Amino acid sequence: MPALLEIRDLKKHYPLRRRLFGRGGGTAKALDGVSLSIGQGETFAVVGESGSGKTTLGKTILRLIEPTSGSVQFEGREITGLGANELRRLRTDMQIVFQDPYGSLDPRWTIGQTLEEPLRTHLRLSDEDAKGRIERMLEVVGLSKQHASRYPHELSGGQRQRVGIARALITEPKFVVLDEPVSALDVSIQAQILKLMQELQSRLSLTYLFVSHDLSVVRYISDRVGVMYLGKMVETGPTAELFERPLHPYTRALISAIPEADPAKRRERITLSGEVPSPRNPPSGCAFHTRCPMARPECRSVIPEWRQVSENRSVACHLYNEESRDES
Amino acid sequence: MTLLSIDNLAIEFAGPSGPVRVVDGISLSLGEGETLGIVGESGSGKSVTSLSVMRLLPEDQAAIVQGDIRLRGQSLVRLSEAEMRKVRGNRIAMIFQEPMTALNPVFKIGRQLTEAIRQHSRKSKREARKEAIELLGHVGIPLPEQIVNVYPHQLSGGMRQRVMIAMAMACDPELLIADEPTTALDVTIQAQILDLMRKLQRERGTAMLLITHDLGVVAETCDRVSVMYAGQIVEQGDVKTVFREPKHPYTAGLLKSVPQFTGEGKELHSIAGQVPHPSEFPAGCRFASRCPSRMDVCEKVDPAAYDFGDGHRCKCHLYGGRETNAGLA
Repeated sequence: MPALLEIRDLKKHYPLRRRLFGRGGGTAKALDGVSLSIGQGETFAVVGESGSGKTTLGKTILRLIEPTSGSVQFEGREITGLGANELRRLRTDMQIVFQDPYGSLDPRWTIGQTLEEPLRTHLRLSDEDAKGRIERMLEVVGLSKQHASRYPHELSGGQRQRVGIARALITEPKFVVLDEPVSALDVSIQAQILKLMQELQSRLSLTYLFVSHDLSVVRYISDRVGVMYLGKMVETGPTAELFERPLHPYTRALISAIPEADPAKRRERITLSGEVPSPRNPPSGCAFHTRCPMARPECRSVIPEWRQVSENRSVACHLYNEESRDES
Repeated sequence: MTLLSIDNLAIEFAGPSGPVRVVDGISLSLGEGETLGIVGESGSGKSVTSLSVMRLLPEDQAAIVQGDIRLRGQSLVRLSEAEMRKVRGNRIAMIFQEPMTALNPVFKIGRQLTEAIRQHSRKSKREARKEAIELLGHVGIPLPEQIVNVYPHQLSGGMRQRVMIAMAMACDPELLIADEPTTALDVTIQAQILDLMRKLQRERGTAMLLITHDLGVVAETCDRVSVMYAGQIVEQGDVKTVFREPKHPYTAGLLKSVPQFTGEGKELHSIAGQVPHPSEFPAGCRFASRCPSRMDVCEKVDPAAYDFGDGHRCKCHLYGGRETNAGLA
């Protein structure tokens, strides 16, 4: 699979305001050096808890958030330095679907107006062409052309998320960030939307970055997975492999925490103590060491390197430094 | 021994064109120390049901128009507000999805907890404060003697939910109602809170009514489950039986729409369409328009409830030949 997107050492640091008497200052590292490549036609899922930086990653790739440093190459072209005009042209190729289908649609615009806006801004289509495209797009996402004259409040949550998807796809993008696209929906509707996104992917040969906290959904939809913790990628790998043989202790704990809809399978659980520390003041060394059941003294002081441990798996954990050293 | 029984309950809300029946003829019972899950999607009536047990429905908008709710045989529907206040907190406590809305933002944690304790016992301020600190420690809050001095906004979501649980357990209630208690929390924190709730339940023998949309949470915590759809209970029974052999097409569809974490099955089913609005409930089965097993009778006749033994009941025409059970219908 040729890479559509190459991300190298991407960082987003927010300066912290100095308090009245000089305390504070420093930076919050929302995204702290993430590298990954996403292949053409692939679904790469980013999972993590609140504050892990997964949403920041998605938005920084699209430059909806400006990166502090690092590189993002889309089809071999560096996009971090692009000016406003070039960026606008790029937006037709890179789009986003947001979590909240209630908050992300303008309540005063009809669905037709919402879908027309990207066509006007990006493609300058004639009114007639735009109208035809909007009607086709509504059908593609499982709505009808009658919906064009409706307002968001007249639609259900699932229908609104279909509109959100239509808005992202109407410029015929190649790459779409899906930011928790089904988290706000009921289970039966969630399955409808997941299936729709899969169908659209193969039909329109789309590449997805799927941001989610829900591992069951991720397991269903993605080809590869990256697990984030406090602004850093801690592990990546092909979906089935990563879930069956998680390497990083955090990934293991995350997987064992999922309640499964099968009372016969009540499993042994690794319950993590404590909470995710604040990115304003992350722990030294490995950021996970404060909650890690396998932490050793070096984890407290040395930041683990991001290393490739097999053909398609990488992990940032001291446990694997040593193993590879022993073998060599 | 039955602790809570709900019998043929119906609740109506005032609507612009007359009353709208959002809960329609539900019956269930909960034994001492037992955990019953009420599972359903938005608009199924599960939260309205739980609020009605606490008599917390907005009086000017909603009314119980039929049926009864009994705690150890005593009707809660007919209690005066003053009598009901004694039941709340002392005998039935409740925790909500978003603890921030249930905690007062301008008072410190310690003050809110001691107030709750003193509402229900004749303890001095000092004794109540000591008890508050003990309770916070018991629900797994580190450094409880410091936490009593902080405000709710200074705590994380998981910690706030622990405080709510401490407050709910302060008076050793017989019944704890938990309405989506972990929905707003991250999965590792959710696991901690579910563990805590199970631990407290084991130690104190509190019965629990758990309202959730998450089938995984039900599978892990509940003894029995009631599945609600469009204001009615469509299926109920032992958790293991219902999950293994769902009888109602809605339950079966719901279980198949959850991506399973383990196992090979990659096929994901979805249920077409959406839940009808309460003002548009059809005369027949309310699931008929979305049901893959729909028959002619379904659209016209409201199905009765059929009994499969061991309290496993299902309201569906597919099982037409069986004995009906008036309790659920």
